[in-house]
Amino acid sequence: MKTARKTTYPPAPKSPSAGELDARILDFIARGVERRSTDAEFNQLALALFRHQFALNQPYCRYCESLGRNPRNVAHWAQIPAVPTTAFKDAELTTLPAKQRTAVFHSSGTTEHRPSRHFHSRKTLALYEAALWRTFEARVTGGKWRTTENCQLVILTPTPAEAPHSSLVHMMETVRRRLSAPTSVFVGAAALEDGRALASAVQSKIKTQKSKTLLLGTAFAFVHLLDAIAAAPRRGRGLQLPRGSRVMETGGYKGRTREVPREELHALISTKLGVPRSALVSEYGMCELSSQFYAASQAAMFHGPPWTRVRLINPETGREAREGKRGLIRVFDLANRASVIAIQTDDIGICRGDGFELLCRAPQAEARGCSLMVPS
Amino acid sequence: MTTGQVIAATARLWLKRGSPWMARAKRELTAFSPQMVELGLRELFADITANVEELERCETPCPTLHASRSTVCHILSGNLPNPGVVSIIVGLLSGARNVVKPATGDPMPALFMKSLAVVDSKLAKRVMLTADREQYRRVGVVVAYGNDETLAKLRRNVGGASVPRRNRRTKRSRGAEAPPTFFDFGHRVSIGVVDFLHSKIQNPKSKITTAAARDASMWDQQGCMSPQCFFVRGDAAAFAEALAEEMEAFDCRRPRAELSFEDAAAIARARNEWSFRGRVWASKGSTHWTVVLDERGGWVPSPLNRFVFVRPISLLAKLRHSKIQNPKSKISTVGFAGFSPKEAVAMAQADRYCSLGEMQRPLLLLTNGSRLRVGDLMI
Repeated sequence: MKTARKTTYPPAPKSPSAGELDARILDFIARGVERRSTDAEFNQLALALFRHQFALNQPYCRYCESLGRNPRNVAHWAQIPAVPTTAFKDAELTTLPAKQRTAVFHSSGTTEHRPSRHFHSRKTLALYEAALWRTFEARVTGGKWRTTENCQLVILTPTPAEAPHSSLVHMMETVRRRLSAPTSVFVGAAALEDGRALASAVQSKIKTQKSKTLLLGTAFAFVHLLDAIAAAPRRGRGLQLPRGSRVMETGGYKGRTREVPREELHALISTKLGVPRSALVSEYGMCELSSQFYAASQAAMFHGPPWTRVRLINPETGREAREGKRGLIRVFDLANRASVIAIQTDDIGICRGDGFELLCRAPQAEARGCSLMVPS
Repeated sequence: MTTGQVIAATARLWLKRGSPWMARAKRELTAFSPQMVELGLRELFADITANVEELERCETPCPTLHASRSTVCHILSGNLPNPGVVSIIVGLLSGARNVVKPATGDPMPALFMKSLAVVDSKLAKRVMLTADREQYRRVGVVVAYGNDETLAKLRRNVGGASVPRRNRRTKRSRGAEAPPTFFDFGHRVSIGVVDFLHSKIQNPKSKITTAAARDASMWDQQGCMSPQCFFVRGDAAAFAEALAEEMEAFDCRRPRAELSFEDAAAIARARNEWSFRGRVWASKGSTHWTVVLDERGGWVPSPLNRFVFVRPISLLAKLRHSKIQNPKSKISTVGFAGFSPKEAVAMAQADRYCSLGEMQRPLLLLTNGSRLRVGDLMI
């Protein structure tokens, strides 16, 4: 007669302290973005981080247990349970006690009733800033822009005071501080509502400065700007940015303006702002992550820094999608120390080599056939 | 033979063991698994053969009179095969000429008409299949199925007033230049209400969950009579767990169709979303079925394809104040178990009330707001 054999797992190593983890993550980041991390070194830190988060992040711990996962039976970073981005709306997914939370990033979006909340402490914010700067410096400025150079930033977002909970604005502000460009400017929320005001704000900066410009903004802000340029006959040739300028475009549209395909948007930016495509990059990030992914305009392939890994998940099977097939983007981010290392996004992409092509957002339940989409 | 008898004889062709028509439908209706197609079509044609007298009773006393006066244009949606077949049957019983525009890629109307022609080619000639949607410009009555946007556009183009659901028996006098009368069957949803508190002899709990799983799984939830949510009195979590077991059992017998990437992604997204907001029971390694226990929320649409919500009955009050009930009810069917019909009627405003397990099997020519009636066409 067969007897049921109970699965036994070896005891998991002790959960490392936050300070120890911070030091190891900062060390990882300090090595830069060009040197690829080995699977073994990524795995070692990822599992340590998982143990830490499993021990201190109560909602995440419960979620893992509901899936039957714990530090004793997770042996590889790819097995770490990924939390959907929407969970950040429903639960306080953090290892931080309330008194250590010094900042919180909220998701944007015009239709969301409850935003996602990603909590940070002073120390994890330092991790966040170190991670974002290392990648930005390598992927956007190419490491060639120095703080002493004659350069300026024009940032097409609200100001930090207007959007204190925006991770994107915080990122822009960090970049501004790191570059120490004295004449840098956020165009502000009011200008973003009015294309002409936006165009005027950008033009005034360019006209008065001979220095090269780093123009950073969301896709919808660029569409507003380009529409305003097209509508003004005197600006037929557009706003020509000084030679050596660069442009970074990020984010979606969130229903704020007409949507323009990425390729078309980049072609328009290049033509109307006088920036070669080689000086144009796209960024992919979200408030639930601490690291960002960048794609050169012409390649359209997003790559992350060595302290991240990306898997594309087949929605039907829940397993990794095959190379060249569509899947839901799942990010493993070692810089997410105080929340959750593994984030399941709603975005669809295609896995290509060590990068991914970003396609669109997964559809929500909506009216089809005889069904009905009705708000409660 | 009367029209009703011809239709019944056609139905028998489909029900015959080894029927080539059924075999073709199973092969060609690729939006569903062959097992699902067989079950759904068998139920439809069995209902037809069992109700020949009713069909005959519905026939107009003088078909030629109406046929000379009216042509009915049916613009069908392709989400389910049954409503299109029933629409054609109703058109034939009314004595009208029928122009049928099937949904692109939907083989069912053509298959049914070919089988009808085998029994009575003359009657089959009263139906013309067309790919030309503009046919509605030359007819007296337009019957259209589809999403609200398509129907609104069609309504504007037809120029005729939509006949309110409650007044569809109203006959209008029509001049030669009058625009066609327009019947539209758009977005609707269905719900179930279950008393799971008291196990009753006629309604044991296991029977209730089997019936609920059947309703939520039939035709992969693509029809307006498919429940998207069950409101439960008693232990909603126990109901959800038992329902999940039955959904799995149903799926083993009648698998759900393979989904497009987008549909699978919508389910994966919804599962992710609800994993922190409620409790989720789901098929392993696939998106075949999902049961979500939501003890807090209001109405949220399901991504369909056997994705069903379970909510405590106390949340039904939210539904009453929602847009789904106001200003006009958008509920097609309320399936009930453990409650009396009177209690079910008091709970939600709908066009049809039936026992759980029967939600996807409406009486063939039943008067309700979700289906065309022969009387509608007596203009």
